[in-house]
Amino acid sequence: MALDFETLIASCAQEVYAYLTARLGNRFDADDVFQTTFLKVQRNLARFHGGSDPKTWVMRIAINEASTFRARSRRELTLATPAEDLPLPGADGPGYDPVEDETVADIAAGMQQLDGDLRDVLYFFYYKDMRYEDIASLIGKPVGTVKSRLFRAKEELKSFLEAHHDQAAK
Amino acid sequence: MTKRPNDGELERSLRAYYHSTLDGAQPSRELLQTVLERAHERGSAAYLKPGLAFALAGVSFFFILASSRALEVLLQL
Repeated sequence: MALDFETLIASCAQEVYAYLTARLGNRFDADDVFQTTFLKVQRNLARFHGGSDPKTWVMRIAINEASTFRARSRRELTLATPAEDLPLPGADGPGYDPVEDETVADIAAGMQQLDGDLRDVLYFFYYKDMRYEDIASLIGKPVGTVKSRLFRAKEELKSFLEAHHDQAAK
Repeated sequence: MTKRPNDGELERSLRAYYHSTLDGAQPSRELLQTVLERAHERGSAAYLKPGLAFALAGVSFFFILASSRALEVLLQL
Protein backbone atom coordinates (compact mmCIF):
# COMPACT_ATOMS: atom_id res chain seq x y z
CA MET A 1 0.00 0.00 0.00
CA ALA A 2 1.77 3.12 -1.22
CA LEU A 3 1.18 6.16 0.93
CA ASP A 4 2.03 9.66 -0.06
CA PHE A 5 3.64 11.59 2.79
CA GLU A 6 2.13 14.94 1.92
CA THR A 7 -1.36 13.49 1.60
CA LEU A 8 -0.95 11.74 4.93
CA ILE A 9 0.25 14.85 6.75
CA ALA A 10 -2.60 16.87 5.25
CA SER A 11 -5.18 14.34 6.38
CA CYS A 12 -4.11 13.98 9.99
CA ALA A 13 -2.03 17.03 10.95
CA GLN A 14 -4.82 18.75 12.83
CA GLU A 15 -5.84 15.63 14.75
CA VAL A 16 -2.27 14.86 15.76
CA TYR A 17 -1.61 18.45 16.75
CA ALA A 18 -4.72 18.67 18.97
CA TYR A 19 -3.72 15.42 20.67
CA LEU A 20 -0.16 16.60 21.28
CA THR A 21 -1.36 19.94 22.64
CA ALA A 22 -3.65 18.12 25.07
CA ARG A 23 -1.04 15.57 26.05
CA LEU A 24 1.97 17.86 26.42
CA GLY A 25 0.08 20.82 27.79
CA ASN A 26 1.54 23.56 25.65
CA ARG A 27 2.01 24.42 22.02
CA PHE A 28 5.75 24.86 22.22
CA ASP A 29 6.31 21.19 23.07
CA ALA A 30 3.49 20.13 20.76
CA ASP A 31 5.37 21.79 17.88
CA ASP A 32 8.55 19.85 18.76
CA VAL A 33 6.85 16.47 19.00
CA PHE A 34 4.73 17.17 15.92
CA GLN A 35 7.96 17.44 13.94
CA THR A 36 9.56 14.30 15.38
CA THR A 37 6.31 12.39 14.85
CA PHE A 38 6.03 13.20 11.16
CA LEU A 39 9.74 12.69 10.51
CA LYS A 40 9.35 9.23 12.02
CA VAL A 41 6.26 8.67 9.89
CA GLN A 42 8.27 9.57 6.80
CA ARG A 43 11.16 7.29 7.83
CA ASN A 44 8.83 4.33 8.31
CA LEU A 45 6.41 5.02 5.48
CA ALA A 46 7.89 2.35 3.21
CA ARG A 47 7.41 -0.24 5.96
CA PHE A 48 3.72 0.53 6.42
CA HIS A 49 1.79 -2.31 4.82
CA GLY A 50 -1.75 -1.21 5.55
CA GLY A 51 -2.32 -3.46 8.55
CA SER A 52 -4.30 -0.65 10.15
CA ASP A 53 -5.84 2.66 9.17
CA PRO A 54 -3.00 5.08 8.23
CA LYS A 55 -4.39 7.72 10.63
CA THR A 56 -4.38 5.19 13.48
CA TRP A 57 -0.80 4.27 12.61
CA VAL A 58 0.26 7.93 12.68
CA MET A 59 -1.59 8.52 15.95
CA ARG A 60 0.21 5.55 17.55
CA ILE A 61 3.53 7.06 16.53
CA ALA A 62 2.41 10.40 18.03
CA ILE A 63 1.44 8.68 21.29
CA ASN A 64 4.84 6.96 21.48
CA GLU A 65 6.71 10.14 20.64
CA ALA A 66 4.77 12.07 23.30
CA SER A 67 5.61 9.42 25.91
CA THR A 68 9.28 9.44 24.94
CA PHE A 69 9.34 13.23 25.01
CA ARG A 70 7.80 13.31 28.45
CA ALA A 71 10.23 10.75 29.82
CA ARG A 72 13.13 12.65 28.28
CA SER A 73 12.32 16.16 29.27
CA ARG A 74 10.08 15.86 32.32
CA ARG A 75 8.85 19.32 31.55
CA GLU A 76 5.18 18.85 30.89
CA LEU A 77 3.24 21.92 31.77
CA THR A 78 -0.41 22.44 32.27
CA LEU A 79 -2.39 23.03 29.12
CA ALA A 80 -2.14 26.76 28.73
CA THR A 81 -5.26 28.37 30.04
CA PRO A 82 -7.19 30.31 27.45
CA ALA A 83 -5.98 33.63 28.79
CA GLU A 84 -2.38 32.56 28.24
CA ASP A 85 -2.49 30.91 24.89
CA LEU A 86 -5.72 29.96 23.22
CA PRO A 87 -8.06 32.88 22.66
CA LEU A 88 -11.48 32.80 24.25
CA PRO A 89 -14.07 35.57 24.31
CA GLY A 90 -12.89 38.33 26.62
CA ALA A 91 -14.68 39.29 29.82
CA ASP A 92 -16.60 42.00 27.98
CA GLY A 93 -17.15 40.01 24.82
CA PRO A 94 -20.18 37.99 23.81
CA GLY A 95 -20.31 34.38 24.97
CA TYR A 96 -18.07 34.95 27.98
CA ASP A 97 -19.06 32.73 30.89
CA PRO A 98 -17.06 33.41 34.08
CA VAL A 99 -18.22 30.16 35.72
CA GLU A 100 -17.11 28.10 32.75
CA ASP A 101 -13.88 30.06 32.57
CA GLU A 102 -13.11 29.20 36.20
CA THR A 103 -14.02 25.55 35.62
CA VAL A 104 -11.71 25.34 32.64
CA ALA A 105 -8.87 26.82 34.68
CA ASP A 106 -9.51 24.33 37.51
CA ILE A 107 -9.55 21.36 35.15
CA ALA A 108 -6.36 22.61 33.49
CA ALA A 109 -4.67 22.70 36.90
CA GLY A 110 -5.97 19.22 37.71
CA MET A 111 -4.71 17.84 34.41
CA GLN A 112 -1.21 18.86 35.41
CA GLN A 113 -1.37 16.31 38.23
CA LEU A 114 -2.34 13.39 35.99
CA ASP A 115 -0.03 10.87 34.37
CA GLY A 116 0.14 11.01 30.59
CA ASP A 117 -1.57 7.61 30.25
CA LEU A 118 -4.56 8.86 32.22
CA ARG A 119 -4.68 12.10 30.27
CA ASP A 120 -4.71 10.11 27.03
CA VAL A 121 -7.84 8.13 27.86
CA LEU A 122 -9.66 11.25 29.03
CA TYR A 123 -8.80 13.00 25.80
CA PHE A 124 -9.89 10.16 23.54
CA PHE A 125 -13.05 9.48 25.51
CA TYR A 126 -14.30 12.98 26.27
CA TYR A 127 -12.93 15.02 23.38
CA LYS A 128 -12.77 12.50 20.54
CA ASP A 129 -15.85 10.60 21.78
CA MET A 130 -14.16 7.28 21.02
CA ARG A 131 -15.53 3.96 22.29
CA TYR A 132 -13.62 1.92 24.87
CA GLU A 133 -12.78 -0.70 22.22
CA ASP A 134 -11.37 1.87 19.81
CA ILE A 135 -9.24 3.48 22.51
CA ALA A 136 -7.99 0.05 23.57
CA SER A 137 -7.04 -0.77 19.99
CA LEU A 138 -5.30 2.59 19.56
CA ILE A 139 -3.18 2.42 22.70
CA GLY A 140 -2.64 -1.34 22.44
CA LYS A 141 -4.13 -2.21 25.84
CA PRO A 142 -7.13 -4.32 26.89
CA VAL A 143 -10.54 -2.68 27.24
CA GLY A 144 -10.38 -3.30 31.00
CA THR A 145 -7.25 -1.17 31.22
CA VAL A 146 -8.96 1.68 29.38
CA LYS A 147 -11.92 1.53 31.77
CA SER A 148 -9.75 1.42 34.85
CA ARG A 149 -7.56 4.29 33.61
CA LEU A 150 -10.67 6.36 32.90
CA PHE A 151 -12.03 5.65 36.37
CA ARG A 152 -8.70 6.45 38.01
CA ALA A 153 -8.29 9.67 36.01
CA LYS A 154 -11.73 10.90 37.05
CA GLU A 155 -11.19 9.99 40.71
CA GLU A 156 -7.86 11.80 40.76
CA LEU A 157 -9.41 14.86 39.14
CA LYS A 158 -12.33 14.85 41.58
CA SER A 159 -9.95 14.64 44.52
CA PHE A 160 -7.86 17.45 43.12
CA LEU A 161 -10.88 19.69 42.54
CA GLU A 162 -12.25 18.97 46.00
CA ALA A 163 -8.93 19.74 47.69
CA HIS A 164 -8.46 22.80 45.50
CA HIS A 165 -11.85 24.23 46.52
CA ASP A 166 -11.37 23.35 50.18
CA GLN A 167 -8.11 25.27 50.09
CA ALA A 168 -9.68 28.20 48.26
CA ALA A 169 -12.55 28.33 50.76
CA LYS A 170 -10.19 28.68 53.75
CA MET B 1 -18.16 23.37 42.24
CA THR B 2 -17.88 23.79 46.00
CA LYS B 3 -17.72 20.08 46.91
CA ARG B 4 -16.42 16.87 45.36
CA PRO B 5 -17.95 16.95 41.86
CA ASN B 6 -20.11 14.05 40.77
CA ASP B 7 -19.55 12.19 37.49
CA GLY B 8 -21.98 14.35 35.52
CA GLU B 9 -20.44 17.63 36.68
CA LEU B 10 -16.93 16.42 36.04
CA GLU B 11 -17.80 15.16 32.57
CA ARG B 12 -19.41 18.50 31.66
CA SER B 13 -16.36 20.34 32.96
CA LEU B 14 -14.00 18.08 31.02
CA ARG B 15 -15.88 18.63 27.77
CA ALA B 16 -15.93 22.40 28.38
CA TYR B 17 -12.20 22.32 29.09
CA TYR B 18 -11.35 20.39 25.94
CA HIS B 19 -13.60 22.42 23.67
CA SER B 20 -12.41 25.77 24.96
CA THR B 21 -8.74 24.86 24.76
CA LEU B 22 -8.50 22.57 21.75
CA ASP B 23 -11.20 23.52 19.28
CA GLY B 24 -9.45 25.15 16.37
CA ALA B 25 -5.99 24.06 17.53
CA GLN B 26 -3.97 23.36 14.45
CA PRO B 27 -0.32 23.42 13.41
CA SER B 28 0.88 26.73 12.05
CA ARG B 29 1.68 27.02 8.37
CA GLU B 30 5.34 27.57 9.29
CA LEU B 31 5.42 24.33 11.29
CA LEU B 32 3.94 22.34 8.40
CA GLN B 33 6.39 23.96 6.02
CA THR B 34 9.32 23.08 8.31
CA VAL B 35 8.20 19.45 8.57
CA LEU B 36 7.80 19.14 4.81
CA GLU B 37 11.20 20.74 4.17
CA ARG B 38 12.97 18.55 6.72
CA ALA B 39 11.23 15.46 5.34
CA HIS B 40 12.30 16.45 1.84
CA GLU B 41 15.91 16.99 2.95
CA ARG B 42 15.98 13.63 4.70
CA GLY B 43 14.38 12.00 1.69
CA SER B 44 17.10 13.40 -0.58
CA ALA B 45 19.81 12.36 1.87
CA ALA B 46 18.39 8.85 2.03
CA TYR B 47 18.45 8.70 -1.76
CA LEU B 48 22.05 9.86 -1.87
CA LYS B 49 23.39 7.61 0.89
CA PRO B 50 23.68 4.32 -1.06
CA GLY B 51 25.38 6.11 -3.99
CA LEU B 52 27.78 7.87 -1.66
CA ALA B 53 28.65 4.63 0.14
CA PHE B 54 29.28 2.88 -3.18
CA ALA B 55 31.52 5.69 -4.39
CA LEU B 56 33.52 5.68 -1.14
CA ALA B 57 33.95 1.91 -1.33
CA GLY B 58 35.21 2.25 -4.91
CA VAL B 59 37.69 5.00 -4.01
CA SER B 60 38.94 2.95 -1.03
CA PHE B 61 39.41 -0.11 -3.23
CA PHE B 62 41.50 1.76 -5.78
CA PHE B 63 43.49 3.45 -3.01
CA ILE B 64 44.38 0.09 -1.47
CA LEU B 65 45.19 -1.33 -4.89
CA ALA B 66 47.45 1.60 -5.73
CA SER B 67 49.15 1.41 -2.31
CA SER B 68 49.88 -2.28 -2.67
CA ARG B 69 51.31 -1.71 -6.16
CA ALA B 70 53.49 1.12 -4.86
CA LEU B 71 54.70 -1.10 -2.03
CA GLU B 72 55.48 -3.89 -4.48
CA VAL B 73 57.55 -1.49 -6.64
CA LEU B 74 59.36 -0.14 -3.60
CA LEU B 75 60.24 -3.61 -2.39
CA GLN B 76 61.67 -4.52 -5.79
CA LEU B 77 64.06 -1.59 -5.69
